[in-house]
Amino acid sequence: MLRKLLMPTAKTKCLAILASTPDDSHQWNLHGVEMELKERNIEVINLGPLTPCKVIAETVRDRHPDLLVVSTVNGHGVHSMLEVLRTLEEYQVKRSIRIVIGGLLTTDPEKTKTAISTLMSAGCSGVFSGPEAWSSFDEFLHGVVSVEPFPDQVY
Amino acid sequence: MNISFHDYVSGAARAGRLVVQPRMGFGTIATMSEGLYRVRDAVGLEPRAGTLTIDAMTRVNQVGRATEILRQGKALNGFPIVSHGPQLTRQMLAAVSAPNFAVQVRHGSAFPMHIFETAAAAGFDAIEGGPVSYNFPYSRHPLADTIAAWRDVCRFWAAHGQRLGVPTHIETFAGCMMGQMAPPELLVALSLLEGMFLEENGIASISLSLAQGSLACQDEGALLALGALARDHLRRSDWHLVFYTYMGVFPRSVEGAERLIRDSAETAVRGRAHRLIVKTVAEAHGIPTIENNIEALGWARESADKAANKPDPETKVWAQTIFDRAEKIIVCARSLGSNIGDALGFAFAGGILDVPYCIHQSNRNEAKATVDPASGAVVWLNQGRMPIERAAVRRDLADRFDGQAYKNALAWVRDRYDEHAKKVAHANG
Repeated sequence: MLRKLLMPTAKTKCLAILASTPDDSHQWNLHGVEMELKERNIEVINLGPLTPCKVIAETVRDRHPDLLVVSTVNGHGVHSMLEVLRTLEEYQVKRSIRIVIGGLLTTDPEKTKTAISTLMSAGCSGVFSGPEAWSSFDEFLHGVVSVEPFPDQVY
Repeated sequence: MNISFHDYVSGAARAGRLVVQPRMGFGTIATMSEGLYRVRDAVGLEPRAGTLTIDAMTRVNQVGRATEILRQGKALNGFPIVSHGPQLTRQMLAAVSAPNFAVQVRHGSAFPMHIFETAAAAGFDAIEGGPVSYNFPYSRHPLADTIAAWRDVCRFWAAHGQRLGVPTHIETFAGCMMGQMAPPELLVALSLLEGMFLEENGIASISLSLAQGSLACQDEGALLALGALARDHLRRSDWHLVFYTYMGVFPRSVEGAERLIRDSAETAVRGRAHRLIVKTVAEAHGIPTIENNIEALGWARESADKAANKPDPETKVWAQTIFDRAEKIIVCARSLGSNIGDALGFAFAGGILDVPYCIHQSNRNEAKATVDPASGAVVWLNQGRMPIERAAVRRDLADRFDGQAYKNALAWVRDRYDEHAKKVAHANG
């Protein structure tokens, strides 16, 4: 009994906003990411494809998520994500959350490394691309976001 | 003068031959003409049709950006028809014209009046799209807005036909919704309903589409059901069936991609389709070249001509099942409005129509589907509010459907064809 009282109480569910970039109409990737996040007990607001920067920024402002996840596979991810980051800055919400992006970020695989460093220095906390993307994203979620999938079993 | 698209496909259909057609678009007049010439003149491809695919900027009504990119000499992923304008485009079309060559404009634009106007002024008589199929996958606008916009473009295109003196053609893209993992009864119903919308708004020549899925006998059955339903529901227009090579995650191996393309041609013939939109081996890697297209059209032609038209018993069972389910969806949806446009809007609002995995404000997205890993058939995991019987829902698969199962289903066709290619390579030494 005492033990139970001394243990931290179950954390409120982590909330993630999931979006794409304004010029990417792909949807299958968004469903995949949504399912993976939910399986880790993360609550998800999926804003759908072709997400306008304004809609992302307003949702971040209004819903106070722990995480913004942008998934894009059309090969123009770097350019479009910089636009998203600029808009978040304009709304003054960029510093309040962790921002990650993943998918196919450039049409030239040799430029992936440059793309990652550009986006990390522009304010992303994680950039996931290439064959290891899913497993790295998985580790990121375990490490950075404090997720307690089965709080009851802790006791 | 080119033969009209309608007359060309009708002629091939009467001769019992499948028309093959690429999905080809390039930014400059020079490359676009070369592509059209090569399709027209390649030996042994006939009957074949040419394609002029519009670039992504023009599709989303950003003509200024397309013109700017063109001016800078940078690559576009299609032909910016409005930037080039009707005059240059008409000259290009006249140059490739032949008594046995027809060309269709393909675009993917939710609000396409600018494309329709330029295409009409340039002398085209065949185009594609529809209020649902060019909205849900490509835009965030409410369905009501595209229904209104497509009423206008259909009437414009019909009037253009009256001026030309030929029945102008529109192909519905609704049988390709989301590219993969949509059960065929839904695709067949959507294709029919969008076709009925085109007819209602004055279009006299229509094609109904369907995309290749993951099981040949299911696809053949779906095509047969689509033809049977078209005979019942499209009575005022001429129509034909167009089948698409797989639109989902494509094999990475050349051999796997070739097999998939050849299979699509055989399925098209056995399902009695009249035209085939052919993909290329480059689909998994980038924008296909003219060479990629000619090669793939050649495979499709060869396999189509060799395919025997004999449906197996399994195909007949699928055809009946898909016919019954699609008919129920069509009748139910049709009952909701005094015209097809309104009925479509209400049917999506109420979930009578619901496209699995489509995130759009006018789609409920309650229905879910997957590929049955044992048979390869596309099956329901959840029918949402659609009039699909409960027995059609695969509870056994739904119960263990997680992120990994979802990813496996998306890649099922790719993995199976790549695996097959590896085995063939191994057997050959």
